[in-house]
Amino acid sequence: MLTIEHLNKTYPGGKVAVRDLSITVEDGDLFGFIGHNGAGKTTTIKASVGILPFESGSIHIDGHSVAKDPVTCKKLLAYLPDDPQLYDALTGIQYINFIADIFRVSSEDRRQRTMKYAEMFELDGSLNTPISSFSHGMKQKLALISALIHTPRLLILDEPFVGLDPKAAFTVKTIMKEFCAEGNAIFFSTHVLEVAEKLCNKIAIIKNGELIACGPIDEIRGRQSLEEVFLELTENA
Amino acid sequence: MRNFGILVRTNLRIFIGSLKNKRKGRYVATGILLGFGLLVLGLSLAFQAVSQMFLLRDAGIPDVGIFMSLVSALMLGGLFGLMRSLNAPGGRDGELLLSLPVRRTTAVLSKVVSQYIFDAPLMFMIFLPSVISYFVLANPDPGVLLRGIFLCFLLPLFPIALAYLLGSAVYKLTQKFKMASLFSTALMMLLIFGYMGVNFLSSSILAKVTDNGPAGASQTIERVPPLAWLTNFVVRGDVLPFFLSLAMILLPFIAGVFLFSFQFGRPVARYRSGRRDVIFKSRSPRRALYGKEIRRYLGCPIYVINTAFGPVFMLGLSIVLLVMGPEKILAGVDIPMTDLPAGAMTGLVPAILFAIISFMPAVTSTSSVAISLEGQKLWILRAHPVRTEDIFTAKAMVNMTVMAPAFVLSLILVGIRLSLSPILVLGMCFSGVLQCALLSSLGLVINLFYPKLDWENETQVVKQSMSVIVNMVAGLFVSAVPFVIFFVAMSDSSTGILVLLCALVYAILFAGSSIFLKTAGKRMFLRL
Repeated sequence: MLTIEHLNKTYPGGKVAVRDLSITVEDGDLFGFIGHNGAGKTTTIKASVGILPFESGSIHIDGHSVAKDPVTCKKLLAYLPDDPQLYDALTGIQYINFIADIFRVSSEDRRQRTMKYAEMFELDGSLNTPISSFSHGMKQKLALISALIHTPRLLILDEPFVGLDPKAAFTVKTIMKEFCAEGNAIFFSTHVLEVAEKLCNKIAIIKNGELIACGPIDEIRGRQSLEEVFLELTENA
Repeated sequence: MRNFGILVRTNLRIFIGSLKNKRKGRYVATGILLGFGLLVLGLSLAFQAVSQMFLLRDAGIPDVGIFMSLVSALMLGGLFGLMRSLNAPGGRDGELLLSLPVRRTTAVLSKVVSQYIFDAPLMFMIFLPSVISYFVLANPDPGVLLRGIFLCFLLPLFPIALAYLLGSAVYKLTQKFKMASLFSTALMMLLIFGYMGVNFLSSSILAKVTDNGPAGASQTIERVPPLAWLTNFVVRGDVLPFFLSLAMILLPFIAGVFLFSFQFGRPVARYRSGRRDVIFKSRSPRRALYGKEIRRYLGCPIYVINTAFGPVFMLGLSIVLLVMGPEKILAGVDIPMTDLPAGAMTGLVPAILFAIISFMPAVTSTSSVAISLEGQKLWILRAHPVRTEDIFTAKAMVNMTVMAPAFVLSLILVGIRLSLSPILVLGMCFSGVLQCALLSSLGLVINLFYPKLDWENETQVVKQSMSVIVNMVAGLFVSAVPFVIFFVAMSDSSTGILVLLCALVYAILFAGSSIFLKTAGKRMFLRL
């Protein structure tokens, strides 16, 4: 579903954000991406969704190149940034309608999906309210609903649990599991190792822009906890 | 007291910091530019006040100089106060300050005093030169200077009071109504046009007062009691006007500060809809993008005020022309009809009007900040399957929506009043729409070269970004096209040829900017 091969990204000023990074996310994978602050997680994610150009390497989504055919790739995926800044001038429903229009989702489909997820996130009473009145968590929930509105095949999420209340976090985890059980894939970054440990079937650990571990979580973890492995790997690498 | 000093200093540092650019060297350049701007403004205001006082002294009515300068100071201060009233009351740092071991009174007073420090220089620059020149030229009692300086210190309280009082009203509105920003925008536009109207009328009042002599002058001053109190307080030092002046400025100020203090640090509650029914309406991606851009435009009062000026002015001008006729307008600028060559009404006059109307939308394009205003929300457009060309088109269409109908309507009104042939009017409209299209795409090109995505409030983008300044300069060049063609190429030719040549130039430039947007512009957008 998502293939990143030999990705290199250097920011103006010479800071190497990602060096020769290769990851493969297959259908059905719930893939966790772990690393310190500034390790290169968000850079990799932004490059994968086609909003950050990169110097070399390739990123393919379902066989389509993100660099050469970005619009086709974006039709297959949905992206949720760590701090979803949404259009304050729109109401919740106007924003959902806007995203649904971009993906050409029919009125009936968008009604069904919106009501389903808005009820799950307890946001159904606030859809007519301007986004400027939303809290961080509410924006996060709204961005998630709009990400799911076109039934993407790949979800790319940057720190999806930040700012969510425990109930909403549980709902997100449930949605993620169901989403992957249907044969779709999720690639997400997180700082919460317990979440990655319980949720993911595969993980990748990144340090200073370089991949230091990647594969099925059981193989990487062995008999230790993920926290122990993470600390060991990041300190020794 | 120590905390108060720290807070005031920090407020000033925040203001200076907002001028700072990330690049080294820009900070000093901005400081120099700001200082130079203030110096030029101060000198020009002083020159204006002194020359006006000379004129009024010779007419035997120097008191009017104080009166007029008070009108200017209060109108401009009022305008600033009104603009500030659109910001959320209490500022963004209210909660932070109240969480520190600082008393609420200290925090509030530091804000008020900082605002006073920002407003005072302008009030001084407007009013003090008039007081000094009155003192020097009219030979009054020495108390005039002291009273004038005293009033200089009082005047900055007026915009502060207005900002706090109106800000509270706007805040209440935003809590109650979804479209409160539209109301604020309309109110602001009305007040700005009122300000311009008063400014326009003040020169004709001045001319009338000069003609009527001292008796007429005092009659005019007494017609506006609050301003008469202030004028009489400075000029004569009467006791009653002194107390009335104090009450007029201090009472609203105290009320404003009280309201500000009440709202300071409290969470900004916004409108929440009680509606449960949700409307799902599907549109094409292009229409969705356009709809989003229009909502974005209407949701930002400062954006609307800054850009709707051109079309509103343009329409106003053509309505005045329709009602008054070109004869009266020309007479108003001292060009009698008899001085015009034969056939001027169908040749020279429409050509000049076309050129003047073309100037209006050229300097107020919405496109020049359309990309910058995406700010931190740019990821939405970038992460979704929309073509960059469609994004550009949606943004350009907002400018077309704002400018083109007013442009066309104005030209039709000109055509009706001057009884121009329908084909010529059609040609003028076509050329006008092409000019709007050119300005729409040119604004985007400029914004791509000078993007400002890292901002804290929209005013920084709409009022202070480089793309706006560059766009104004570019707009001036575009608006010069009809004038250049008129004076260089067609002294004896018809208006039709002028319009045709303008359309040709606009079409070539529009094609150039469109090609740029589709090629290099697209790449620049993806690199933002």
